[in-house]
Amino acid sequence: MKGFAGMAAMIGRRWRLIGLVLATGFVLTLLAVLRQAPIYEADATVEVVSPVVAGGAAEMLQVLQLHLTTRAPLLEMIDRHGLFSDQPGLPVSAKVEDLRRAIRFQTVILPAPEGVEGSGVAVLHIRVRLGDAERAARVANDLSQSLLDQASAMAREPEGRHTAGASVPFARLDRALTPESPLPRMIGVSLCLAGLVSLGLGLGLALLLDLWHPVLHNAARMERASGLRPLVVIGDLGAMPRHPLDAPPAPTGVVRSTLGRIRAAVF
Amino acid sequence: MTRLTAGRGDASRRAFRLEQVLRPQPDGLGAVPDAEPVTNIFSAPPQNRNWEALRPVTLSEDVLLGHGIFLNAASHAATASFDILRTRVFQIMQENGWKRLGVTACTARSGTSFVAVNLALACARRADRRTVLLDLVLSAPTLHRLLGITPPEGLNDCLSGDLPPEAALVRVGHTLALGLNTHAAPLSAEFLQADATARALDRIARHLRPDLVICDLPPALLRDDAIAMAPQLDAVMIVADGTQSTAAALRRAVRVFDGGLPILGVVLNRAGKA
Repeated sequence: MKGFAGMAAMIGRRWRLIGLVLATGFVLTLLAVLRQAPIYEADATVEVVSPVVAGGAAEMLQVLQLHLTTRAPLLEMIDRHGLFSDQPGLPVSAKVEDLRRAIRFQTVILPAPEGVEGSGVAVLHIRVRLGDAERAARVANDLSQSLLDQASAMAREPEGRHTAGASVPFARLDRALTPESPLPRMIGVSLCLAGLVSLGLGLGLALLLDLWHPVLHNAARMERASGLRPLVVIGDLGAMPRHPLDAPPAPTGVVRSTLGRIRAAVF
Repeated sequence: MTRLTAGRGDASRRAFRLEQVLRPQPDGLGAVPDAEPVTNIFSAPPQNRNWEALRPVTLSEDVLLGHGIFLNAASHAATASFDILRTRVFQIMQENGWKRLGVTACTARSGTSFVAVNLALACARRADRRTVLLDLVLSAPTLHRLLGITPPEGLNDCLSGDLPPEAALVRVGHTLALGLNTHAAPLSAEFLQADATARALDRIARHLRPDLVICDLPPALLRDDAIAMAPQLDAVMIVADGTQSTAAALRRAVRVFDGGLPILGVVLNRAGKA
């Protein structure tokens, strides 16, 4: 296949296949999106009023987040809130992994005041996505409360380990409310992505089919592939000169084959 | 599936081998169009009363050019290819004593009608030959649109025996007669296999005494019309499309006529550069 013209010809030949793959991709995506269970997102916010913590508040929060999302605290949370009770056969490791994926932390870091070591944390968002709105809110609030408790415990630890111990950094907690509506399904975005993927798949399949069953394209390929030599070859009319005198000297396969025979006989 | 039998076949037809036309011939290839008595207008003197009785029509060169059809040799560079094709076709047909040539394709939209019409016009540029072009794509006739004319009567009425050839066919100049349809016929393959159709084709040949009858046919792999017409033909030419025909499709099309009808050759249409 040569260049854009070759690609356009290939699409022209295989447009039914490409269209079929595209339509199938759209339909399957639409069905998957419509059948998808609703997802609710609850958002708890921890606001830091005095982010002056030796060693850097951001680093401390990161440690706390990692601790909260380890296996043991997550299993406790699953038990406390009765998560996955509708899936008794689900392995424990899968439950932990699912819950871990459902939790998102987002920190907004403000610059530390001049002369103070470490970074200051202004706001920490804890977002939980679950299929049940109330459970999502409860888990988000549970996580934020656990975070506060652990931070307080760290602040009470002896000097030199984690914090200066002189100030309590967290001041206010905005509890998560039960979300009223599920997250939007993003049908448009899903269909656009499905279209792109399906188009790529369709073009790939068409290309493979063309490699498998190549079109005759020119006299040489026709003879090679089928063993038949054309009586005459007619090129693309649009690409040919309108006036016969402007035509190339050997426009047909017959003439070319004659020249080939003469050449073979002479040389 | 229709079983092919030798229809019009004589000994020379059955003895004809595909290799004879698909391989380079020792003679004749040097016979380029310039060596023939070629005219750019259809100016042969009237010699056949029945032929002259056909209703004359005038083709519009502008309309034809818009459809990729070339009335005159100077119309387009592609006419050189059709002139060479004409020469090869006449040579092979004459050598074998054949008159009726079917033009079909492997698949749809390969340019069968384009090739058939341009071949007919190239043949008509020979002042010493008479050519008849018949639109036998009965299920979806298109030649009248390609040529930009609306015949008063349809070819179907002639094939069914309701009209004589001189009432159904029209002529362009003195070297080309056209049998066109404007309406599709139901059960086209059955229509073509009818005894009346065979008799009508014989009657056209007797009345007009053409040197060549070109029959535009549907794709061989899509419908059985081309196979149905095989007993009424002397040879068939297959049009392959360089943008969509595969070698497998071409081989299948050749096999359709295998043993029943000589294949005069293959025309590669819309070919790319080597």
